[in-house]
Amino acid sequence: MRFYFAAFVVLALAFFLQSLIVQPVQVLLFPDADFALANIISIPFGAGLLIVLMMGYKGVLVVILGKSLLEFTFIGVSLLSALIHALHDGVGLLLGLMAAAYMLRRDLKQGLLMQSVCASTLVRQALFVTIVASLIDGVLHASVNLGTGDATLSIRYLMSHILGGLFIFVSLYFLRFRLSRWITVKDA
Amino acid sequence: MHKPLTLHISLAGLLLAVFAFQFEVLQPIEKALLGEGQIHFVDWLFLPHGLKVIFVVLLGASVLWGVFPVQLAAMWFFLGTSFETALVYAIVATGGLWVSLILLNFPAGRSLNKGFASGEDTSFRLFRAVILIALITSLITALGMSAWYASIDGVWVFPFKFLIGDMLGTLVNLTILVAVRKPILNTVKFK
Repeated sequence: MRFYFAAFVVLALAFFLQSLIVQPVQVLLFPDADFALANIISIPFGAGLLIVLMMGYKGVLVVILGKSLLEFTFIGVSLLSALIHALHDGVGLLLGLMAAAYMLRRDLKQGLLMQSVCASTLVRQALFVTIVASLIDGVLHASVNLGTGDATLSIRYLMSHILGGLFIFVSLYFLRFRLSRWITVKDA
Repeated sequence: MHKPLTLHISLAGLLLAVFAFQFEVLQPIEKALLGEGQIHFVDWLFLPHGLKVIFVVLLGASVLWGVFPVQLAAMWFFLGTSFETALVYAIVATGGLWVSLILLNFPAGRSLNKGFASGEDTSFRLFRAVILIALITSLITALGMSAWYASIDGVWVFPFKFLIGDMLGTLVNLTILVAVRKPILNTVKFK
């Protein structure tokens, strides 16, 4: 249970970071741009990626429920819209994780972090899941919002998710030695 | 002529023939059966995608030098698109294949441009590689081309249509390959 709670806290922190830092900065940098549908960088997506990497498919449930609740509470969108957005992310992350598990023959139940032999492998797998999940999420968003916004919306979704994932990917890279020690202690 | 060069030219010729079959035979049949719709922009069964993927999985990134001009020429001459659309398609589809190959090689710690038929990595099944490269390339093409068609022609193509056509095309190619594998291997063995 405490893993689920910790995952929710990570997601909530990502939302705070997104709404308190990312959104004001992007409006300051590009005052004429419309960020209603897609941001420059989506930190919550990156946090969702981290949760799914650590918890496996069980993390998808946290992402869907947590993201719906946080979007509804902090951003003020309707509960149905928040749930639809969260489902996009959840499905994208689940399919990205499934693709990685299919390729590497890993167990979906445990998450990739628990099955990695070293941090460098984990970082490589994180990059794979980031890009595949971002692509799937981009196609989902583009399909659901077909005809709304401008033609570049699907590409903007893709870029914001990849950048959000890379934010986590780079964070993991800088934490790789700490992670390595943690994995070694766990194995011992 | 140098043997690998002859092989690559032959493969490019085969891909061009499949593109011609797609646009001159399959597409009119699709239009007759399903109506005009958006079939000019996206097919329900796209055979060239599967063939490109199988080439890349077997031979690696080197085959892309032949794939790029074939895609450009096929879109321009057979489908009759503008040169800009043909160029964008060739860049997006070829770039997508390359990115997919890199993405699959990177987590396994292999050489990034390498194909999967070298025999040194037996744990990695060719089937898995074909399915994943087909899927990732298709996602990239779907996003890129749907955005391009919307911005240039004002046509909003449902991106999942690309996925359906590409994945069905890949499965048809794989089935054909599996069916003709034994006769080909027997012929090579006999020679």
